Amino acid sequence: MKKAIGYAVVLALLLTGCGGSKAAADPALKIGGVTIEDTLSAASVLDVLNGLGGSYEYAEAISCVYDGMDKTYTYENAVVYTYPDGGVDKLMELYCTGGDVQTPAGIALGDSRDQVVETYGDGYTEAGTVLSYEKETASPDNEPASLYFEFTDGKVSAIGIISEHRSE
Amino acid sequence: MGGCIVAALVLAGLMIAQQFRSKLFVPTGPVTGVESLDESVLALLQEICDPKASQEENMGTVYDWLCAEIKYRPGTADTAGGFTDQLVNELAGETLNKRKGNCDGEAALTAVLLRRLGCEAVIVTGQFLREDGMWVDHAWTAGKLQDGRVYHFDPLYGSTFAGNPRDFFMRESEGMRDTHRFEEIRMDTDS
Repeated sequence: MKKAIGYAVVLALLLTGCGGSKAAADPALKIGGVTIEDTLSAASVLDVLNGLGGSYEYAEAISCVYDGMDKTYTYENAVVYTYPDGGVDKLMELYCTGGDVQTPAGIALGDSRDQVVETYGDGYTEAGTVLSYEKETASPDNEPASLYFEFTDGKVSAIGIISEHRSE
Repeated sequence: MGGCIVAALVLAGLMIAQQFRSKLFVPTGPVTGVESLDESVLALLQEICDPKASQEENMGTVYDWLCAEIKYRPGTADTAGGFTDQLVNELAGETLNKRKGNCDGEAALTAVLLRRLGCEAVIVTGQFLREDGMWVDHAWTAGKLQDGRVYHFDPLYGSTFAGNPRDFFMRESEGMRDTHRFEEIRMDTDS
């Protein structure tokens, strides 16, 4: 009996280890071979724009929430959203719907929901058509950084990263 | 014996289904006509609304959900031509599906949800007073309730700036004037 219990414990431990390690869901994207990561520094917006390259449509509006101007840079396959913080534009979100984009762990447009969860694990939140992996925030007043996936008909139709940013 | 078991299972299934149906919220207001949006709206309302609650209580539940679930994202929609039905439906659908939007998107979604709950609702364009003292272009929603009075709903402002988000739930026009500028609200049913 004791042997049977012992074998069961060992078997259980083995089975829990069979899921394999999951990739870290860090908010980063590889676009055309260039890795773009979220940061809170002002230089990150320029890094993103330089990394994306090409032409974009620019729009700005007085922010509903922050002191200053919200800005969007709309490319053929991506949108960059920035928000003002202390007179500096900071990256809020990079949203990609096409082109050569994938996560550092290899998830790309067209992959299935199962592939996403298999890669990053079940530590996600899901709402609407969006599945998000959020990081812990440095401050309770901030919205968390996240890597997220939008699905259409069960396939990844957009991938995005959100920088940690102030809620207001 | 087998027949008795099958009959018992069928009866149990019918009873469970009846329990489920009697607890399902059925909204009474009009649909938008956009199938995907109407499906998403119905699914949300059936998830969060209570069939035993009043219209006002369910509107409060919807408002609380908007405050908690919709995150701010700068918007790029062209509203220069006004909030047409098509634009409202597009903004509402995007905001609901992605759980993100600016004031235009959140106002559109609020209007769609209130209408589905049976409340006549319009989007109000005006300005709100930001914390730095600047008046900023803004959009929110006004609804006409069964008492014939018009009330304002601004979940974005409520969740971002108010001490209590509910401060901007069902607020009468005079109570909005300290923080919001707007023209007189006119509903389609006004004579």
